Amino acid sequence: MNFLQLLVACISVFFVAFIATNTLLPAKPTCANSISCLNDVSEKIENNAVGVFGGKEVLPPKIDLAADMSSQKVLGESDPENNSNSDKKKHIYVDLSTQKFYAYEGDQLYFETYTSTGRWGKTPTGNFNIWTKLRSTRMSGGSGADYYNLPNVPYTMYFYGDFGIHGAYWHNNFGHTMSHGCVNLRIVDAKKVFEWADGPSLGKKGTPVSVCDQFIAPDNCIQENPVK
Amino acid sequence: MFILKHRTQIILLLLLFSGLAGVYLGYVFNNTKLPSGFNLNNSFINQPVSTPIPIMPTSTPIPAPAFVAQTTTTTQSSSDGSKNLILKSTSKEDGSRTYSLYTEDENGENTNLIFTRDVDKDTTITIPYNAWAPTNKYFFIKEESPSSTDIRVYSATGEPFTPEYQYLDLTQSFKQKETGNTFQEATGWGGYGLIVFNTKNQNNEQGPSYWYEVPGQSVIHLSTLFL
Repeated sequence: MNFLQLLVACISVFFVAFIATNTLLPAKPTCANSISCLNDVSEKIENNAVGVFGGKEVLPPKIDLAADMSSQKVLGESDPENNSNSDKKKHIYVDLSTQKFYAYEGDQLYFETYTSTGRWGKTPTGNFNIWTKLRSTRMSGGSGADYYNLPNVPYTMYFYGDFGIHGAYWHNNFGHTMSHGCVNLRIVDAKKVFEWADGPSLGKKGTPVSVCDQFIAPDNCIQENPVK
Repeated sequence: MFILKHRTQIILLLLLFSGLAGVYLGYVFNNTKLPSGFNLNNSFINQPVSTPIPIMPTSTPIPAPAFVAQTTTTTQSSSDGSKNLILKSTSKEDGSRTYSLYTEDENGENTNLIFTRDVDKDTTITIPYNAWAPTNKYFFIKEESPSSTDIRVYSATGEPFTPEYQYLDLTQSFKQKETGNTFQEATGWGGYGLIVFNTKNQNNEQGPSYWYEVPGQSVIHLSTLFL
């Protein structure tokens, strides 16, 4: 084998390996929060920390886990304000075209509100499941004028890597894109969804989340290039 | 004897019925409201026989429906749910309205009356979905009339921004900047103290987006659209 043959063989092997890797292995999710995504996506409560968003300091809401515990309903206790029918399959739909958020139980709409999805980073379309629920975490990313570092992001439900549904305390522009890829909700709405949705447990996946380019109905979620 | 007695009874009965009939008719005539001009005393007795009886048009008065003021209340909570903005609107008979705007805590305490205003029938005041600032320090409302749309920013406590002005007029500040674009819509708060709003250009097409910075009362041109 001369040098030329060896070179051709190496290039061929490289391309075969490259193509196989890209087509056969599942795509690794990119990050919504470019800094915290790599470091840590764990639960964090930092009540005395100061955040940064849009070049300005922001004060996160204080989180009192003891108060959270005391306000939680005892298992089986009836809650007249919560008309949830937990026997039916829960499913979350996010409509990127209208910036609307829907929570369904079977074919019954349980909750509907405005959301803010990706402006500085795209919210991936596809069908996912909540893989963890965190009462609070820190999210950071961006650079320069776009740098942000936000402690105590409340009611976080990650569904694809560090793309998550969570409350947003640094803006109030729901119904319009405002995030780096996550699904932002008003804090009161995020709390309601957090208490309703399920994380994974006993081998069962968490509540399904479908991100749609356009949502028509529970069985009609238009996704042009779903990542999953 | 029997026949005579029987006849007497019939006569007595006839007299009795006649009397009862007279009493009944007299009672009915006394208690029936006759049309004006058709009065037993005047028409039949005092009027000459040859004079035509004037027939006046009957006019049953139809009572005008009493105006009932309608009051509607709309509420918009802050993002964290701790504050409410309450707008009460009461309609008046001429179509105009009285608006009262309040803020209060979620438990109904610490109520602040921001204003009570009368507006004409073509003017409406509404609370946008994203009215509250993320800090709950400010909020904005929308006032629309056929000639203009105004966005007014208030302090949540109702305290005036300056000794002269209780509120900041976003649309007026934007007009004074003379960008050549016209105000279209305020979408919400892009950050602490920053209201995002969109515009139309001189061709009535989509213009650039801006920030209105409440603390500095300045208008900032944005490089990207916030649709």
